Amino acid sequence: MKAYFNRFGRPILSYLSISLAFIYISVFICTIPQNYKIEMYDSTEKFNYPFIELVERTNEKVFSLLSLDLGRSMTGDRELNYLISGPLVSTAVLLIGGILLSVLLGIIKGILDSRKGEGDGSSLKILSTIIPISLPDVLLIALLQKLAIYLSRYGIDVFKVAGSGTISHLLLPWLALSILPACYIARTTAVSIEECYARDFIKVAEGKGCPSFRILWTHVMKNCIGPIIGSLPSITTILIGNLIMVEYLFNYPGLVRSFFGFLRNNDRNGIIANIVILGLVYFSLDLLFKLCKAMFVKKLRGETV
Amino acid sequence: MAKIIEVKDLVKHFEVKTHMGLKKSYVKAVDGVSFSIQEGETLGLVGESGCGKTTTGRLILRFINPTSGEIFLEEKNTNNMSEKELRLLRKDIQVVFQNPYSALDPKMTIEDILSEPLNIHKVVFKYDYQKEVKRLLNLVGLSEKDAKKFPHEFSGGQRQRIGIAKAIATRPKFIICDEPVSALDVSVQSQILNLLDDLQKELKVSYLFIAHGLNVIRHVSTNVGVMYLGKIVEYGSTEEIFGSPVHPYTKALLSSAPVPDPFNKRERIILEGEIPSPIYKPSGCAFHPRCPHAMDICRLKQPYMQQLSPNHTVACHLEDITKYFGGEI
Repeated sequence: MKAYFNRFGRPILSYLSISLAFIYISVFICTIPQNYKIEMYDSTEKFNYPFIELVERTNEKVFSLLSLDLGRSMTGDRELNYLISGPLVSTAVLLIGGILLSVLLGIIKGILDSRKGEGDGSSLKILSTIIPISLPDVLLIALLQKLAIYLSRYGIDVFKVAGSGTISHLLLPWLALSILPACYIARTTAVSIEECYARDFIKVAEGKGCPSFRILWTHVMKNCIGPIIGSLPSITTILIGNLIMVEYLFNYPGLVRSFFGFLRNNDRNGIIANIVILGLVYFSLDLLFKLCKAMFVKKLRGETV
Repeated sequence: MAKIIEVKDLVKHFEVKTHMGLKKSYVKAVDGVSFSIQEGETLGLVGESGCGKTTTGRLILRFINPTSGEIFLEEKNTNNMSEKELRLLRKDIQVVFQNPYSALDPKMTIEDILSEPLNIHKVVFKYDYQKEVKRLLNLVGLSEKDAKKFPHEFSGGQRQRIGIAKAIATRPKFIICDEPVSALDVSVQSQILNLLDDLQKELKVSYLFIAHGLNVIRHVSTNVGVMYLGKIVEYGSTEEIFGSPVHPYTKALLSSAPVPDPFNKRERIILEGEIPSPIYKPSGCAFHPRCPHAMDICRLKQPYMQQLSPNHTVACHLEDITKYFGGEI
């Protein structure tokens, strides 16, 4: 029971407390009026807006958010739950596709990058993984858009440069979102595979007469999947950071575009709701990856010699 | 008795790049090793760490390709074999590794580990896998109930037994035991050695037993090869090697092994100097910088294997000179 709590209960509890703190701080910051001033007279502070009122307003807003009521927009007086649900679904589709694609591409690239127990170097392969990591997101997205335009000139209209509505519109954003995390996963995969190939049981499998494909899938990948899943929490930040650029540059109707819309209209309620939802998406992803890691780390602990 | 394995002038040089990767050098890990093993026999390969024992084993298994030389399994040359033929060859040549803790796949149950070679080489029908796994486990002194367990649930000795069960699963003719008891407690060592002995009698399998423990080699081997810097310097039956060693290195090696008798005062031969680098091997006899009997000829000319008796050969100029000039060693 205690072991289960340590493995699953702790990350969930820490997720809940961090999320709560994040919501409170975000709401508090957004509640501060634009003309808010603190002046000092004879070593005493004077606020032009009572601090206790700020806290009360924050508490009120936080309780409203916890009861899943995002409130009403200040421009147009519409329900924010309704206004944000659409962008949230679009962002979720983008993120899920991006994660799946990055894991798939990352593992395949990692397998190709690794030497698989052979002695010859793979510097060029490693370089092809490191170069995309060093490129700025903006440049990467611009290059992908340029590629789409180039292809459409020759009648290949598979990729749409911007907008939404069809799968074609999603292909480039998915790709743009997944390249960077895929490179990180590829490095972890390649390193894990190489470490695995150096272990004796791989030689034993070779000695049994296993074909190289069987060694890779039955022995190597089974043992590498733990470290690969373990590396996923580190890509959450990259994913969310990329999401902002991808949604903005592809004019994708997700949470980021709706955030910029609220920002333009100076709609505080909308901004708060958007920030909270984006933050929760980040923490949920992180929690999901950590829970997956906890599930796989269980066996590894038992295997330690 | 038929020859199971024959190794002829086996050489393995590993390329290393020095001077910022511009200059190539070669580690002469195995440098002209020849021997043969008969059916049901055990050849013990002994020598210091880094002398090329394990590399010889890996070359026979074809985990690495030899630079030159030939390996014959039942008179079939393994050099010209394709990848597929080599995989089929693994049925007849198996290996038991030194470290039982890392030799078993931690993600597989014992049943999966043991049934994998059965499946690859189609040793028994698919329906009989479970039965065969149970038989193998019983053969190495483990319970049938252990089949569903994972390797981490076993002790070192039990894991080595599983390693042996895996090795005999394909009913091989030849097993390379690469220091199979080095990582085990002394009490467990004897159990594993006795198990290997029993299996040899029962299955008529041949062993190449690699070890640096002389007592272990003496206990299990029919013949012994003493290796120094990639070469076999003395080869003979266990009785001859341990009873009347000829090469100065063999003598030094044997004198270093402790004898469990406080009244047995033996002359201890202490070799001076370090083992030379396998990249820059000394000219002539590789042992001459440390040899207490080194002569001028040892620095100039490499000694060749010479027959002392039908089953005893040695590579030493000292033996050459005493043979022709009647001197004392």
